[in-house]
Amino acid sequence: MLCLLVLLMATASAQKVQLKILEKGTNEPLVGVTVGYATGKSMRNIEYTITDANGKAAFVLPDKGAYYRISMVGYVTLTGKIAAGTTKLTLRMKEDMVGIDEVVVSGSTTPRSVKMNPVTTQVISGKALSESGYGDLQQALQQETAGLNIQKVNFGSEMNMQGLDARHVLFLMDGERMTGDMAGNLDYERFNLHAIDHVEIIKGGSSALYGAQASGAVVNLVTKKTNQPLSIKAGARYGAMNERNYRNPKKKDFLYMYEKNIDRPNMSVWLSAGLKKGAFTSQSDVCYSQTDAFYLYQKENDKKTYTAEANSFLDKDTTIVSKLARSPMGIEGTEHITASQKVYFEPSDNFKMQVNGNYFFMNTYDTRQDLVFTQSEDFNGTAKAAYKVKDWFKIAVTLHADYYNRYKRHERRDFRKTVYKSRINQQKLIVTSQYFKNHDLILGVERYGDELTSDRFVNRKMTSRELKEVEYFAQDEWSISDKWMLSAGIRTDFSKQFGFMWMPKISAKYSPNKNWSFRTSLTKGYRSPTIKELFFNWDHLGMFMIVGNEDLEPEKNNYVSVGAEYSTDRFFINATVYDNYFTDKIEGVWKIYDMQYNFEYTNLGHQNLAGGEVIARWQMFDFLALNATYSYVNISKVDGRQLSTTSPHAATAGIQYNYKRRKYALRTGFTASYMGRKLYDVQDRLTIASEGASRKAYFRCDLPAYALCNITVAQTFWDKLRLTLGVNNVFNYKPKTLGSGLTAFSVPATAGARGYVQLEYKIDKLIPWKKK
Amino acid sequence: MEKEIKASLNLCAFASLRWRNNNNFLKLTAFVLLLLALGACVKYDADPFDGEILPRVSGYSTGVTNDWIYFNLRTGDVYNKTKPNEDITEGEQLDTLIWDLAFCGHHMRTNSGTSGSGKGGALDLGNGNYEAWTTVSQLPDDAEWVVDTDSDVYVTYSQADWYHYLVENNMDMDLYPWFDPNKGPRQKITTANKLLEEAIAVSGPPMAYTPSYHTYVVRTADGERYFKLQIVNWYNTYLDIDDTGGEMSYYVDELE
Repeated sequence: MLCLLVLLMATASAQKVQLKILEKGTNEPLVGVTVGYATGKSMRNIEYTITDANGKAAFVLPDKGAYYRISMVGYVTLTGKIAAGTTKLTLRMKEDMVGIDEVVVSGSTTPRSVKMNPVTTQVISGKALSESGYGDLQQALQQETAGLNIQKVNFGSEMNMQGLDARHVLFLMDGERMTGDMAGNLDYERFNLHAIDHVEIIKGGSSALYGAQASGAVVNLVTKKTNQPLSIKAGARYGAMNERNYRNPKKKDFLYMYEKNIDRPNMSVWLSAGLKKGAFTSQSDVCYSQTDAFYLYQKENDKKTYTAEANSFLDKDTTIVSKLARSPMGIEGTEHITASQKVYFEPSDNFKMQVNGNYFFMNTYDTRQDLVFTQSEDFNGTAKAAYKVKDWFKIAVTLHADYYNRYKRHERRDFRKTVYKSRINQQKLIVTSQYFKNHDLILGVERYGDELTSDRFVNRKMTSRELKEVEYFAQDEWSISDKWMLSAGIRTDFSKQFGFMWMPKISAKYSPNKNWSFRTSLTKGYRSPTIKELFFNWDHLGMFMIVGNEDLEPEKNNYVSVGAEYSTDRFFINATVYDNYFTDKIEGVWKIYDMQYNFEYTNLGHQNLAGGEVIARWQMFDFLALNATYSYVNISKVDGRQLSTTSPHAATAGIQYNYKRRKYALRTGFTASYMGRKLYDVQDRLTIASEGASRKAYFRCDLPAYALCNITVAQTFWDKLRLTLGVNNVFNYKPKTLGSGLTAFSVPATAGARGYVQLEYKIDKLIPWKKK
Repeated sequence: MEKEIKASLNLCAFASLRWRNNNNFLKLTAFVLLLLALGACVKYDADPFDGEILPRVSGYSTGVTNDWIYFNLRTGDVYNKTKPNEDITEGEQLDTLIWDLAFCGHHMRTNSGTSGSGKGGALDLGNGNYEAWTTVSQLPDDAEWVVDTDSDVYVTYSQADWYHYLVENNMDMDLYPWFDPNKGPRQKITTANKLLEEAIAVSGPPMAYTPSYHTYVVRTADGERYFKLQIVNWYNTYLDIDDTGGEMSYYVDELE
């Protein structure tokens, strides 16, 4: 009798519960949703299962029932309890418009939601970027983050984020470094917008975890990894041409190839495929894109105002108008392809490994008729393995290399020349542990090698220069209580050039309740000079020299920030104020010696960047979402002159209307990106006729404020096909002034209002599924 | 390097392929590799250039400010062909009719006005259409020929000549450098043809030379014959990448 009872009890506790997860509104089954369950409310010893192609998941329900936490990127996490004895349960997940549940990986070691992170992180969802119809990542980031500007210039792209340039903003792909051009800028075209899961932006020294280049900010682009058995998406985008330059190119034309290349169609095609079978996951993403070149025009002649404030020898502001008209400024067109392949092998919870390979190739068609266009080629690969030893610690090893070549190719004859080669390689060993209750420890060592081959070190001869660094870092995140969290970290950088440098960081977070969070952060950073800043030695046609300085000292900075955050299911606002004080800041300055101008890298005294930022998102109604960001930065003047080209004010705003029904979804959005007035001084020389003397002078450049607005309408049919129509720069803003002389790179590169159409198809939905 | 890249990628694709017997994935890999192959293709299908190219770079970079190459369009002779002032020095061109057209950098002279005693001159026939102009009779009757002047065109000072000027006038070399990043190199007024000056527009720094593609007519020194001229590029197509240009490519043909 007892045996029978025991048997009955045993069978009773082996009862399974069938969960079905659907999307709220469309009632479509959600595939690949993570279902976490545990016996206790604290969710200790949580177990996981994933929903299948029909949105179903089953697990053995404990006697007393179970607490669940169901999550998926882009949806609001569901928590609750399944009563004992339940056999079937259907739950609906709502799209996460506010983004508080977005899981982030940068800034600490364990993935955790934005809300729980001790460091302020701005997250931009890749789904939102792709659905908003952006043509490329540069455009997407500029519309979604305040104060970020990526400008196409003659030799690549120049980036500016709230007063800091590419040397202080670290762009990472899945946490790994990339190499690009010599100024530290990357070919931002390398980031395939459609392969991005989300973007994490952490402002303010993350040097402790990421090293010297992160003294301003870290932008981590996390790529997609499918958790569905099969996922294939294809898409195509076609946009209106920026400017048609040649109506009828003929083979007899001297510049026949140039004429064709300048007027490429504005289009892209992409394909993403993911497969998951057992312990293996494969993710492939390819994207091919073209844009056409165009010109920016300035109607009036250049005006230069020499202010009395910046020029002590003047009694009043003096304006000089140039006699010559300004030639149109050409913005280059491109043709590029990116391909990436990731293979994951995750046989158990304790062991995971992955191998990635990325390939990039780009032709850049500039508007200079010099018989040459530029080609960039990049290959990078990463191998990672992580092993968990019981619940003591986890050890991870990463090997990463990035090889980048830049060429110049002739436009009439079939040959090309290598301009420079950049190689980086990185080895990382990281140990993380959550063994000690409430502590999240990370210890790591990183070895980094950087080699640059160019003809700019020794005049006209291809030579190489390299830098090697070994860095050690440690960080502890201590959850002192439910309300308090403290994070302390330190990184030491040992380089042959500069010896030991220490970069400490402390952050604290206080959350009195589940809505409020207060954060503060203090970091100290070092940035050692780059190869270019140290070794450059280039004579431009006897006109001027660009000179590196082997005696440069590393830049040092002290960063402090204080922020407050309030969030509910429908509303999120984060406000932060900061101060970033640089000493020995490395800048290029024009100096005259050896009878000519020399652009020389030197350590300037100090520079202070102080500012604030507000990020807000509000799901006003189920169908209406608003978001806005505002950034203010004040950069200290040097001797009464404002040398930084950054605008103090920048903002973005967006409004989105959503309508979901079975087999149809509509999303309409309007976004605006505002850049405030730019007022800065440019180094120049004036000859005063009456005195007959030539003096160093500064003229003030005044670029007006502007806003670029986009509108999109996206419709999804049967959850398979999405059609997006949109207009960029809907109010047709065109800059009236291009600045003067060397200041021409601070205006937005837009040809005016341009429309586009985009089509995306989920090919895997065509494949009939075998029901289990 | 490229072979290694392709091999590695193939390996990655193959590694995941081993665990799959899915036709779709094979097709996907093939598609990916095809796209990669396409990305590296650049087609060279322009017609070969059948025009003229200047024999050398002229102008300030040779060390001489007024470094002109003189052409006799009627006989085909070229003066100062291999180096500056070889045959005709600055000033000697004034009293002779042995030349019709001269080049210095992107500036041009005709044997007329302040440049020479001849009956030369220049006329602008508008953008393109070079092939369409074949006879003298096509030229407009009321054509206003532009002759050379000495108050409109500036040439770039050679560095040597500029420093010579500074020394002569007791000016500090470090206060008046030859090149200014905002203004460009120092200029000196010269005698030249202001219409032909528009044949190629110069902007920068960084220096960019953009031809206007206008067809011009040059009248010879004796005033009898007419040659059409079109400047197509600042560069010589046969030279290396990174060449700084100056050996201009152009078309010149006689009008019947």
